[in-house]
Amino acid sequence: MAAPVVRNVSITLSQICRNCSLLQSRAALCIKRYSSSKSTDSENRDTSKKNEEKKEKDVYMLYDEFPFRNGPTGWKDKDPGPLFLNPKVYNSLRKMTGFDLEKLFPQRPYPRHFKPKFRIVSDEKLQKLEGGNMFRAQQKLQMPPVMLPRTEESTVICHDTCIAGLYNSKMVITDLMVNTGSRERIIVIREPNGVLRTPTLRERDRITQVYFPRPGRTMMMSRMFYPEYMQGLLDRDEHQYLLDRACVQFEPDDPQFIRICQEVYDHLYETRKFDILRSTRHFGPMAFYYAYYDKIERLLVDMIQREFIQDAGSLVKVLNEIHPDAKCAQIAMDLTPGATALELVKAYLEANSEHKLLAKAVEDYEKLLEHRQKESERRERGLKGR
Amino acid sequence: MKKEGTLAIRFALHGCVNRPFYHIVVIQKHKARNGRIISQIGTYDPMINQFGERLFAMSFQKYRKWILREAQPTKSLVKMLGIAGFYPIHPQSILHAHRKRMLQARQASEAKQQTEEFKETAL
Repeated sequence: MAAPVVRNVSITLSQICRNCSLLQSRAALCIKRYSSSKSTDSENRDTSKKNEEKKEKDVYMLYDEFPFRNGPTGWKDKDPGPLFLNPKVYNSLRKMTGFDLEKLFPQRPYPRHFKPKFRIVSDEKLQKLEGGNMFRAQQKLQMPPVMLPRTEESTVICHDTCIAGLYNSKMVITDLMVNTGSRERIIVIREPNGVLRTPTLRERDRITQVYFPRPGRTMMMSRMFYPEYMQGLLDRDEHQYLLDRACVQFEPDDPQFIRICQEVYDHLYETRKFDILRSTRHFGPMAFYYAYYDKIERLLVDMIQREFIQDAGSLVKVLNEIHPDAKCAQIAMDLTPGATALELVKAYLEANSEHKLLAKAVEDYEKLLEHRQKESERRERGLKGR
Repeated sequence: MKKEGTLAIRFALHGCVNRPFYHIVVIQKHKARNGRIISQIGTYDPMINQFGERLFAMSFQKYRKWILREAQPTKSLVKMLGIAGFYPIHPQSILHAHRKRMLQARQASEAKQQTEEFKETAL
């Protein structure tokens, strides 16, 4: 990876200047560009020894940026956004996700004061209520969009050197108009050196959280999302919990969200525990990630072994949409338009003959189908005989 | 109509000991600092937070509405809004900043002199 992992970016300028040579992340550049000059800040600080000690101890974390696994943006040349929103891809991914009501509405222990209500309703009303539940289930399966990471930019509005040194800290001014999205809200930051600038998106999320808090969102990134702590969670199969928390904490174009998701998907790829995310909102983006990076064979094997052949066919379809120039897509185009899912998987095998596991899985599945057919024929003959 | 009397938009100091916190309120001018308000339109937290910021938030829509209803903002609020960029920077802010810079420069040079003198005496 190009940039080293940078954490614990302190706001005390002495620390910044000391670590100047080490800090290479964009975070550090932002602070250096827009923070006050060294002289005003250091002289405005309290010179008593006690306070200095205290300030050295409290490391104020501005924000922690961990690098991506797959290059500077987490993605290759193709923009995943429009690929993901392509109706063919999107609908295939939704279909693949599955629909397990037990997993979507699991039995959970209720708090003591909660008393379940029992009602006697007509058949029509029951249908209506069940429809509502289906709607809620579909909402739970809405996939978080796959996007390129955003850029943390801050534009300078004006530079009023006349008030430089007036305050020894930044002033953050927010417009509290209700019914504006967090990106449209007017927020400005006045630096101690007199620069008036717009906030970076990271700052914007944090400041919006102060005044319009989102339940479940924390001000600073939870330790759970640090690579070393994430590993523990992944070993305990808490992938869904991790991803759900990430959805609450970050926006989908947040670089950290993309990093966390990709780490989870990579872990699932290695351990082959794809079923954990089946029938959750994260299955689609996971399948998309594998299709984007051309490593769908393990997921295909899993699907075929569980006899989700339609899903396997959809996955190959997604792959062909993302990589239309690849061999597999061209073979698939030659097939008749009403090609079955199994034919699509075989087309994929033809194009990528090195996947022996997949070949064996397909073989076993065909044998199973044959066996079942023979059994059913035997039963029919048996019945007819009687 | 002027049923409400002369209105002011100003800071009302809340919080507790060693922890100030201001509400930006629309209030009748004669009332006490923390008296009965007509409307609260914002807040200002003068304590520097862990990210090195002081947070000022106001509903500018409401502020405009009350200005149209002939409420008068106080000087400190106008200075703050000058720093925010909503109004031009108040001349007293410029003066204050200039004097602060002069003081710092003087203190810096004095400190430098002292260290040089100390070095000389040490030698």
